[in-house]
Amino acid sequence: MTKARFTKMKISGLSVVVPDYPQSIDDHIDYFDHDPAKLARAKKIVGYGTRYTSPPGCTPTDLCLAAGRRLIGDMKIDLDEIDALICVMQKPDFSQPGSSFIIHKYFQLPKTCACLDLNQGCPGFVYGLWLAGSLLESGSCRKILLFTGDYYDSSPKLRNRLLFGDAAAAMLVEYDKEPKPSYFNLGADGSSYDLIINPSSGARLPIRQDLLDLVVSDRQGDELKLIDGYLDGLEVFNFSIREVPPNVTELFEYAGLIASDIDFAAFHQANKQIVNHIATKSGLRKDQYSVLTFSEYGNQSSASVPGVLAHMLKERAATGQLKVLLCGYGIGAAWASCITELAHIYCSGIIKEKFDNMRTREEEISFWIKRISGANNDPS
Amino acid sequence: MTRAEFLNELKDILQRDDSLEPEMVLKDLEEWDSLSIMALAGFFDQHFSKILHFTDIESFITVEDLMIAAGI
Repeated sequence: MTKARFTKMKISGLSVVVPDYPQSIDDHIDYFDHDPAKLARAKKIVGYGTRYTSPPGCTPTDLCLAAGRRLIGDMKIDLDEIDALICVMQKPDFSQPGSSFIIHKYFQLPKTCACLDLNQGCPGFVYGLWLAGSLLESGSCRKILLFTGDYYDSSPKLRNRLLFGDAAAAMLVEYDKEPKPSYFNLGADGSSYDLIINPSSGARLPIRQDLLDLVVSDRQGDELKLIDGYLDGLEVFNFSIREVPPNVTELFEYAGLIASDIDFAAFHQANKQIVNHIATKSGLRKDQYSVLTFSEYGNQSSASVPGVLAHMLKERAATGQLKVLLCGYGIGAAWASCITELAHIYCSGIIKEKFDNMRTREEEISFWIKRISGANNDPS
Repeated sequence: MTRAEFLNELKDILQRDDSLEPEMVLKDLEEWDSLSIMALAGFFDQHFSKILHFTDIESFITVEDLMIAAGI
């Protein structure tokens, strides 16, 4: 386990944005054989409720820009003081370059600001925060913008898609000479890399014609295309309940704390069942954590942990001082937890924003033709 | 946990109204689906410290098999 204790890191502000296009699980009763009893049972077990999905042309990067606009505007952040920008994202606008550069351009960040992209999903926010804390602790940076964003539109396999809601978070993490210490505990198990995977999303199996219509039946008899994401639900559940509770209890020990010292625990909202199981196994009481964010917004992947903070602690984090546990786990397989203090921070809550009139595919193609042929030398 | 308690817990996991008997075939139960399999995995971890993999799930034919796997 990688453990760290930081004494110079302070979270100063947080904003979270979801695209304001809600979808209720009740609209998907067809998936439950039009049987209200089956739907009710699924709601009770998994916690299904509402989730928000991006309209055509709206990407996780667009959601990050919206979260950043809110954070930077409301906090009146002096962008010349930003030393680094970290973007945690699995679906960047381009496989090259990373979206950190798109965000850097959009906010006209100074050339002295370093850009870094992390390919991480559900555990990614805590991994990103650990990296930011390391940069502050080393003296390399004093102010860092941390972005996380994701969406899950690739899978036509409805059972998986119903779990996920799109979201992005922006956070200002900065040097402070007298912060309360922050503690981290991180782990990974590469042997489970294929439990959550998109097999044809990179260099190993590029998408070509032969894959477009190729349909595979998974072990439970559900059909999916090889070009879409795959998620082995049972084994993801198993690794989460096996690895996360010991990671959290080790972190308590390392920090010299016990579970009851925590004011609030923000667990990645995989689904109601997983969160309840690992929170209970980690020794937390029902009133110390929540599964409401899953039911109201879905599993927001790398924006899920900040999503819980924004959703559940908007007022308390702004007015008081809270000792929080942050815990992410999932794709990799990876898991990470952190104990830190939130004291009088800026917190936007979860902002619902419309993303109408995004560029169409035709406009995007036309834009790049012009850009490359020299007709448009100012990409924006 | 007694067998009677197990059957009651299982009824709750399956969110089933009717009672369960050991000889019942799992595949014949309408509630035996991916949702309840995940809930069952959580139940086995919590009460019997046993991880259920997909091969275990496939090997279970009756409710009795679940009780045997749980060691009761």
